[in-house]
Amino acid sequence: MIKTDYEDFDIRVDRFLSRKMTSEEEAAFKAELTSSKDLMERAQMIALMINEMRLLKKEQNSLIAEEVAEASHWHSFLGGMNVASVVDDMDSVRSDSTAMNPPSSDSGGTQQEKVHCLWPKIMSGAVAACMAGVVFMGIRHAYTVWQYQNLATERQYQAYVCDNSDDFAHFRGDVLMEGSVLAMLYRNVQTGENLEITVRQLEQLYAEALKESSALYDFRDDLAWNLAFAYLKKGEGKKAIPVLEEMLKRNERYPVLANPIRDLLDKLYQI
Amino acid sequence: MDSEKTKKLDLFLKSERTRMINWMKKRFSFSDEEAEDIFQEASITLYLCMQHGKIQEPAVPYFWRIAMNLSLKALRQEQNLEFLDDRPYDSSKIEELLALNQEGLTPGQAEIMRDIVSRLPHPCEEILWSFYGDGMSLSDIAVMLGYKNAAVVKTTKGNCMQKLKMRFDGDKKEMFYDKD
Repeated sequence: MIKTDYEDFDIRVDRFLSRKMTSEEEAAFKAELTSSKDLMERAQMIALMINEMRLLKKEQNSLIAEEVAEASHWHSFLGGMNVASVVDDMDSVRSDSTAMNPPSSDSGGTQQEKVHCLWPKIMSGAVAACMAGVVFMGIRHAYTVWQYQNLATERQYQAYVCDNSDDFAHFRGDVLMEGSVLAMLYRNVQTGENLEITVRQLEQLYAEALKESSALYDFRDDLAWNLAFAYLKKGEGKKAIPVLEEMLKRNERYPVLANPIRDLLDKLYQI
Repeated sequence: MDSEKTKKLDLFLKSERTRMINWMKKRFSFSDEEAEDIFQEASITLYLCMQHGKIQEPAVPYFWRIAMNLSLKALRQEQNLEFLDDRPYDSSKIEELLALNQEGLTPGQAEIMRDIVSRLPHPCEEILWSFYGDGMSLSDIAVMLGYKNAAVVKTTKGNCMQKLKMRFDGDKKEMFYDKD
């Protein structure tokens, strides 16, 4: 009995399914299938496999497309915020301000008594209003800082934080030293450690990198991105804006880089 | 995503980078910059898929499928190349073949097949999905998976098909036995 060469048979199934057979070839192929249960089963198994793969792939592709299309993470950003507690704080401030209200006429007592009683209330109302203002400003500032810091930890931006430690290995002499310093600074940005010193050093290095003659010229975007993130982690998001705007100008042509910068800037403008 | 997964993804991307960029340049005549852009876009997509729990581990065929889709999309957008279709099989031909046998295939068998193809072992997952799922050529698969040449892929694919057949037949019998 001749052993079937399944590898070649599979190729013929492939040719049939992709319409590469002539009509004569196709007729002969079908006749072969109807005369052999074994070959029919194999051909149908392949067709079924391709069909199921296509269905699975369609499902997977739609999942991938969702991720590709995910331009804004604003919703997930808000999702992590304790909105209820902020609202509660504001409500308590609002209820404190009712102390400013003069007593109503039906509350009893003479006009003198009413005026006498009003002053302490006005004073306490004023103090409460000041305190409410301070609390409000405090909450607002803390909330702004919190928003910046949250942006800095958003996962989608981490994908753009370059780890250039491999590239640095190619440098020689002074630049190698600078490279290891950069790697250390970037690590600090990632971990949030020694941010004061890190920001100062990144600012100096970024200013240096903007000069065309600088050995760091090629790394100006990595420096800009890391500096912006260092600002965000420090809660000083406003300082990140001009750095990111410069970076965006340099990279308008490259959507892969420009899109996340634009996305991040949009979020910063709204804070 | 925990640091262990991030580390794993990082290693995975580093290991795939050169091979994928070279393949894109060769296969689609992309410039260094274009290939790099697509690689980065594919990396970010893979990252997001993992972050959102759509996949647990970075997998070669999955990642290459993303890159291939992005490459074809870029080519279609820029050059309007209609002939570059990554789905070469004709649906009507698939239906025609499945209907040839009078007994036909039951929905149960489709389910069995779906289960098998979604959990294929290495390297069959990579080879069969790339060949039948993505319509890649044997030589492209050889480059992608680091095989010596297309002939080696062909042999490995043959072995994978044999295993798949055994498993499909076995599961069919099991289903029949369970029904009785």
